[in-house]
Amino acid sequence: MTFDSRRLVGIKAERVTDVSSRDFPGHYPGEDHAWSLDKFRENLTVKVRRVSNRSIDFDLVGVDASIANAFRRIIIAEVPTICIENVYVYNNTSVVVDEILAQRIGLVPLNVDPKTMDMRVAEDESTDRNTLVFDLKLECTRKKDAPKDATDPDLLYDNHELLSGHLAWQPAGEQAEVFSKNPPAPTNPNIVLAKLRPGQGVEITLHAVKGVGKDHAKFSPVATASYRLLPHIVIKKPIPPHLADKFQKCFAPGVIRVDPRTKAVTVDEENTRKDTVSREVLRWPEFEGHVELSRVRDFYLFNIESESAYPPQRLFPEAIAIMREKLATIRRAAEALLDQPPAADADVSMADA
Amino acid sequence: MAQLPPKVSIMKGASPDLSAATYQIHDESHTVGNALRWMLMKNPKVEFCGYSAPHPSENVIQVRIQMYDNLSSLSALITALADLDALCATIEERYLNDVQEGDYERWVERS
Repeated sequence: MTFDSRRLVGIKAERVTDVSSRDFPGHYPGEDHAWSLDKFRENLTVKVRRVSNRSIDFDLVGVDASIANAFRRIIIAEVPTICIENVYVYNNTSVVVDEILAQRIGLVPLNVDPKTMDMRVAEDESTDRNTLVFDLKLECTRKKDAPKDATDPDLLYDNHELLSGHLAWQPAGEQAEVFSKNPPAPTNPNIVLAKLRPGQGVEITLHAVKGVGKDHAKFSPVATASYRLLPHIVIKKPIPPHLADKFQKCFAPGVIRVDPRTKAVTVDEENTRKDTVSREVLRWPEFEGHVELSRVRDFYLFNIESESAYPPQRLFPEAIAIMREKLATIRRAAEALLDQPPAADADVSMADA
Repeated sequence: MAQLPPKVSIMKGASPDLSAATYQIHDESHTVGNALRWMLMKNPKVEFCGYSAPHPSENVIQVRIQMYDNLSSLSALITALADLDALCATIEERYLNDVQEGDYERWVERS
């Protein structure tokens, strides 16, 4: 693959060059860089590469960093999920103090589709539309028939670990019907919340609500949502055969091909994405001037790891929908300004946080 | 509860014909700010566009727009918002199409 040199971000031994995009009207004399949806459509490529039950890799090619970054930021901070927000502790004789236990319980990811619930805002009352109730009750006891010399807590005690799987959902109102197919529960039942010993126990009621990551990280639907730019490697001068293997080892496995017979070195165009761009090759004087490293400025390799009820392939459209909602809200407000030109010297009003 | 501030307001010091104005957008951040700035800069009639998030305890961004030929920055802002929406729609459509086609590697990840 060859790329227009304007699309490349140069990677030198100790610096990067041409980081910013320059595709604005007026930057290149005599060229038109005004926004055109048709041109954008022509240059845009979206290609899903890999999908698992928990993560997705896809390429987004032909957009500006500001757009790719907007989607990344929305996925992390503004796509809503359901999490435990209120913890009512009736009894907690475990060694984990109430506030630490509450914090741990809050972080447990739940399998509830956020589409099925409303956001509970400010002083809204809790209803079956915006709140899920869970009970968490466990008492550790000694096993009567435990062998005398046993030290393994599994043999000695019952209920010696408080797990996320112990959360018991209490349906309210229409919830029993709405969630009949997929009863609310933690996505992973094996998260240890506290360890218990005989005589210790907890009795807690929990309220789960809908929220977003910018309010608290527990609401973030992803473990990571990130992108990197496609690495681009150009061999400028042939690599001497006796250095071929050393050259190959400067890159991630699979990036550089060495012909086993002739020791001819080539870049595997399909696999340049595997490179970590460690710049190891730039450290060796014998390779100076032989190779040019760069990245493609508008070629985004997205990786999204879902850690919530969303299947990984649903997160990106969800982020786009939220972005469009934001734009529509601002547009309505801006259009309202068209009809009422403001008083020329209105005082500045301080914004509330 | 205190009344919510307006979503978009024009800050003091704007020229009367709005050819140069700073817009304060409430409850938005770099997410929208940078994307909007980029789209406004793609407009050849925009002389200058920049944005800032003035202070972390103020939940606002400020977008400064200056136009050539005394054109209205407000209409440029509205056009930019519409164009950004079209851009998002295009990406969404392409993504959903590609997921639908299903031409990708599937693998199982253990939790």
